[in-house]
Amino acid sequence: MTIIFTENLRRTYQTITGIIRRKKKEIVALDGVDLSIQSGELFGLLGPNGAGKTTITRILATVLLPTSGTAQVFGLDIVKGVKQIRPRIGLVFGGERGLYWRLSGRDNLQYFADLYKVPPEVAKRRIPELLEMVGLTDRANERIEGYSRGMKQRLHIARGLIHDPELLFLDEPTIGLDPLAARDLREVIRGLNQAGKTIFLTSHYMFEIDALCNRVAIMNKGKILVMDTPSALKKVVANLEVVEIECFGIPEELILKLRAHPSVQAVNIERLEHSQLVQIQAPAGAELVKEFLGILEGVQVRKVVTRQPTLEDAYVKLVGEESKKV
Amino acid sequence: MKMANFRSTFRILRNSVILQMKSNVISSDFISTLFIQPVIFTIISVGTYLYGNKPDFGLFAITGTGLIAIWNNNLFTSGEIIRGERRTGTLSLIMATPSSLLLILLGKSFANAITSVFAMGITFLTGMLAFHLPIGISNPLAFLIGLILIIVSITCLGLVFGSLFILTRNAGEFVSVANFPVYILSGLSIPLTLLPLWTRPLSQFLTPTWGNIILNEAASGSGGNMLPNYLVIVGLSIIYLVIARILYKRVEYLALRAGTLEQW
Ligand SMILES: Nc1ncnc2c1ncn2[C@@H]1O[C@H](COP(=O)(O)OP(=O)(O)OP(=O)(O)O)[C@@H](O)[C@H]1O
Ligand SMILES: [Mg+2]
Repeated sequence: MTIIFTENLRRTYQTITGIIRRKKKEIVALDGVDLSIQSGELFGLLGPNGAGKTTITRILATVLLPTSGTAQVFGLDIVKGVKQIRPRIGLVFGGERGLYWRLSGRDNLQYFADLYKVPPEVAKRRIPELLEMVGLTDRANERIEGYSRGMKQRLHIARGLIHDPELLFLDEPTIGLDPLAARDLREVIRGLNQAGKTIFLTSHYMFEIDALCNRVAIMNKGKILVMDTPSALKKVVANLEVVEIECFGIPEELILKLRAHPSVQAVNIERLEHSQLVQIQAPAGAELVKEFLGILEGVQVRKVVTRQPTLEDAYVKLVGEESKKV
Repeated sequence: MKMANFRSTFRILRNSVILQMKSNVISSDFISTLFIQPVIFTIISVGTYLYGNKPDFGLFAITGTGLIAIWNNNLFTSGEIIRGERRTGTLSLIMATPSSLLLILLGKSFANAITSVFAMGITFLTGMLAFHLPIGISNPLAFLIGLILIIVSITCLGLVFGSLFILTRNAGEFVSVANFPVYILSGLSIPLTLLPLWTRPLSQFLTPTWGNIILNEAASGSGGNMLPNYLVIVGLSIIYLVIARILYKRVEYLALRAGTLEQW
């Protein structure tokens, strides 16, 4: 059964720039998005900052209206069917906002249980279960103010599940968590999906999507670039290998030179603490390392590695190609 | 309405009241609207009447000032509640629940309104201490019932104005300006008889007008049967709620369209 369906979904925002000479500017956040997500999926939406992930999540979760196009959840129009949709979906935004800070974790859950009209006898059973699931039983009676970021984030998940929704929206749920906490949270998400919930997840982290999702859409600048299974997406980079060169202070023109090399498919620069990691995608077996080092003549190089491509490289390639067109 | 629905509505209302009470620490706003303003306003207005050789108006000035404080407190805290929800990022989350936003805010506003009973006490105290006005309340029960009804009713009126805060975070400026006509038209700062005739229908539509009449009559013992006035207040409250319901529907729609729920 199709749970989420969108067709040519668009959303623009009006903003005002300038103080004296006020000009209205229109920002296109979603530029014709088509999605179709089936019951039971753990669907991942991946994209750089400002791609439109939060915007589409908010629209599907009925807290933002689209500018035009179709959006349906459970086969119901998100505007006309909002009354029927809301009790059946859960909404979790990453980050620390979205909780009542002066209340305890338990009181937060209790209040949202009331707002979702969960019968008191059900809430009485479910709240301890959820607290247990997110590992907050011991701290449940403390005020949220004193919670760590990870604790707040876990409480968010419990809050989003308080009415036992069929469909759960998670917008960057692991943002700002340490690796262990993020891994625990991923386990919780996986468990929820195995228990039958359809999950719509957004993230910056490819490995997260790779590890969790059965299907991925990569979006950039309001458009979906590709949508497929993680393994199919990796095929985009299947015949490539990645040359990683760690160096100090690489000038912009040399990056451009690398990009212009006929065999190079994509170049990504990752900033490390004191150095830069230049990731070059090139056909496997082309033995281009020497040529690349030639281009980087004069730059202090620390380390060179050739490795297999990952989903992250597929993402870099796809998003990179899109940016080149503009 | 089915019984289960009724119960759930009551629970939402009650728990919103409790939540707001728990979240309310003594903020500087709270001190200013409930303690400092009433004292200063009482001194100004009672003083004005006394020096104008109209000592009969002393009591009137006190109830009027008390109501101004209640109204002010309500209006600004109802704005503050919505601003707070924006700040904590819960506004869109409570909007995403099947509960009516109006009901939730009614509960939270009412919690604040209860605290504003203090303001009335403060104005009476100020009147007695600063001007040695002999103030006794000759019909305490009528006064108390009146006060409770007025607080509920002012809460409903505050929600009508409060709808603007959902639409934009900048509603504060508008509301501070819109605030004055309300208490002038209700005869809280100057007697209604001094206002031009054409304002009369407007005054009658504002619950503080009736509140002031009730409190005065109950305090001075001049009134006869209070019931009709009580009923007017109840009727007005219902009208405010109906208006608020229509407004909130519209304003929620506009806010979802503009995407301003997360701006703070
Ligand atoms: N309320 C708003 N007013 C104006 N512009 C907005 C608003 N919300 C989002 N935008 C713009 O819409 C575009 C998409 O934003 P969105 O928040 O959906 O991106 P995102 O993919 O979630 O990004 P991130 O990874 O940083 O969370 C951005 O250009 C953003 O600046
Ligand atoms: Mg986002």
